[in-house]
Amino acid sequence: MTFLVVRLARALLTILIVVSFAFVVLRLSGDPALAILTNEAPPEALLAFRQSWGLDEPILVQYFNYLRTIFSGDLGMSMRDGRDAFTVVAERIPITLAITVPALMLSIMIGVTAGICAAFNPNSRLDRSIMLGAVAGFTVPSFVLGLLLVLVFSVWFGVLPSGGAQRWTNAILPIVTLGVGSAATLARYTRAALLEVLDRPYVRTASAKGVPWWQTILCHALPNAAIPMVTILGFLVGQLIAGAVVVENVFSWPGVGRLLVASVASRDLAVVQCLLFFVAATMIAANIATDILYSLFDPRLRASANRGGA
Amino acid sequence: MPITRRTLMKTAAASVALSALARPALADKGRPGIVVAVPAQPDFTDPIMANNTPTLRTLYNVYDGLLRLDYNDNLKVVPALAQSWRMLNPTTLEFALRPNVKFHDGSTMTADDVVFSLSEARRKGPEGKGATVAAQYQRTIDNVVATDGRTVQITTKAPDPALEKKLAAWACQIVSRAAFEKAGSWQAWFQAPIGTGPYKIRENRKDVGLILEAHDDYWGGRPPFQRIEFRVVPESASRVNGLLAGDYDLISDLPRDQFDAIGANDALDLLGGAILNMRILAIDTTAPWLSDPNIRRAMSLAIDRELIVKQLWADRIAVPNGAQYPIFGDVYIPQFPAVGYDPKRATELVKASGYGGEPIPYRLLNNWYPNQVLTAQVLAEMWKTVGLNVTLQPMENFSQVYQKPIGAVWDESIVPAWPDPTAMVWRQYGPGGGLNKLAIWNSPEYQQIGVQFEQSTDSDARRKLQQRSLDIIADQVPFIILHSNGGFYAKKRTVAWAPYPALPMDFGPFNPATDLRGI
Repeated sequence: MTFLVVRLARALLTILIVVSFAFVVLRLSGDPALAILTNEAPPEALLAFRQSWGLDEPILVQYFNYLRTIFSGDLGMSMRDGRDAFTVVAERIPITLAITVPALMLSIMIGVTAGICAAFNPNSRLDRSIMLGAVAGFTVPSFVLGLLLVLVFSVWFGVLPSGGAQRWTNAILPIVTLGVGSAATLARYTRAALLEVLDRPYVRTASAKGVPWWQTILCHALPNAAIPMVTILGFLVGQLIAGAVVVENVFSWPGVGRLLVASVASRDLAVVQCLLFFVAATMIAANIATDILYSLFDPRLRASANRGGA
Repeated sequence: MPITRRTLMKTAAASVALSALARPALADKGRPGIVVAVPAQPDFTDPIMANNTPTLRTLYNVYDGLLRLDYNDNLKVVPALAQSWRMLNPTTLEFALRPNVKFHDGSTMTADDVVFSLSEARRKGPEGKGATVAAQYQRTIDNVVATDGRTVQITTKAPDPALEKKLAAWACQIVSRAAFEKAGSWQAWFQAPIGTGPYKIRENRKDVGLILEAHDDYWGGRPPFQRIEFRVVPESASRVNGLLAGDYDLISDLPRDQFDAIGANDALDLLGGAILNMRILAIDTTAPWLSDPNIRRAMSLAIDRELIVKQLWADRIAVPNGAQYPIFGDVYIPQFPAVGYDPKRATELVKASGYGGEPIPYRLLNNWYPNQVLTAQVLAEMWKTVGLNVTLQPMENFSQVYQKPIGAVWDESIVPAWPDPTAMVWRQYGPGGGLNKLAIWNSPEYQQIGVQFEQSTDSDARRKLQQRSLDIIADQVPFIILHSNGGFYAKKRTVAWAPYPALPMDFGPFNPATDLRGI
């Protein structure tokens, strides 16, 4: 219980720091009235715009007004769209999840499988090939990989669309682009974690007892190697969200990444803040989920949490 | 290639030729649909809200004004929703409306719709805040009245010889009053606006695109395309790949580095060239050193524009002769010299000014304009050779660029919003203009000439005033003319379309390249 309360308090503090940072940076880095109405707008229109959005107030007053509204559950109105920022962001979240969740699944499937194969054949050709692929996978920037995939599958072979969100096939290349980098990272960590536990006495004992190899992996090796893998998975969630900003622009995928770029460019303050709120909340949720998974995989951590440790 | 009357005529001829080439491929398919990849879509679907590139490109096909500009004839003003018009007195124009013009919802346009479209309620925009571009075009309008169901009179506060051009240009399009009132709010109206143009808005999804559908009751003839999908593809590499993959039929904003690849592809056409959009460097003439006209003259003389045009634009754009375009008609001064390149004279001017190498800031955005960063780097080197130390200061957006005190040079472009000098430099540096508001150049003589020009109906007097105005700009160098901007497109060879040397993309029946009659 104490564990959860402490984690939630930390989560709220993190969100507060993120939205406060975003608030200050956005207000000091450009005037939304000029960004949206341009300098050709009449002065009275610029003034009316600033007044109607409270931008004519001192920044401290704006900040406290902002905190008051978000604590009352109101994330503000989009200056570009005219609707409330939460609605604007919320309608994009499923679109981004439609590529990030499959990308995460893909990276787990490919990354863990490749990592296991490499770990069971250390220093073999297979191991070296997998690790070579992994290094290539996480060193190639996602926008380069994305364009490369478009060149091959859209331009040369013409089997997949190059961008947009008109059909389900449009999601394939963004998913692969997002998933490959994460899979490469996961493969390396899985291999390293497994190599460490495969030398442990309990694995040797299981093998000596005649336990089938797959059972040794599933019941003995993987659970013990899971802690570093879960840690990496937590990081990968953040990596996927950051990657979505780039990939959505390369593939013209209309998710939160595209919205973030457009909103920052037009200084749509409420939407940017709402998006950062969403990103921070996702990262915190991923971290809490990681902590919970730790305690599931490691009974020592569970016991420590039950004794009141955070 | 400079934008001259001849160029415009050649463009029209080329358009017809392209149409002839494309026709056989389309003949079997009937009226085609087309997917156009563009970097952005308009924030609002009403032309009164903006005159930026995404808005002009797309909404040009959705709305009509009383008059229109004929891009095939040097932007001559020709009838559109008004069948004819006449000047009753120096401040009053009377328009006879075209009969039986249908809105997109099937209703018939009336004089009441015209009065409403040009009313203050529309000019003021959402919540009456005045956040529209209408003031730029309708500033001189005093009153609009319907004298009968098919006749409208527009009265101006003072004589405005450019009024017809403004009405034909933008932000004066006619919308359905009944549909606007039925929408109940501006937000609802933006979802389903009703105009009279060749295409109606079928779907508008932010960051996805805008889908237009043919308005078959269009007064100007049958729209050549059944459907136009403007798809938002922000990355230029993605647009090119999409065209090569066959996902798009036409792409805009083709970068220079793709010219050769597109040109070498037999299935594709590379289109475009110089457009009516002048790239300039704005100068804060109140800043140290930049307040010295000799330093500004030196900066201008140090620029080898021909080299920039050749290297960065593949010789496909041009340097205009002064702050003017041939579309200004009888006030265009063809013999006015283009800005020169004289590094020796520039060096002398710098030395004579006593300048000692103090940094001159150049506030630079990251390729807001095509080739912007490369051009800035080239310019900094050219200035260095004449003894000027110009330092590049990266900025994120225009509000940072305009942050006072500016004390710098920076990139701008000036579009002749209507074919008259009042639409170009005067629109920016005259009263209420975007650059005027920054208080970066004070020339009482220029301001006085501008006011006289704006109200003068005498052709000779206007021409003399225009000449003097160009002289002042050439002498005082309140901004540095770089070149005309370029607008480049690539399309499948089978698509019957060609661009105008301007920002709007016309897919309607008035674009000769889309002429599919008889198919």
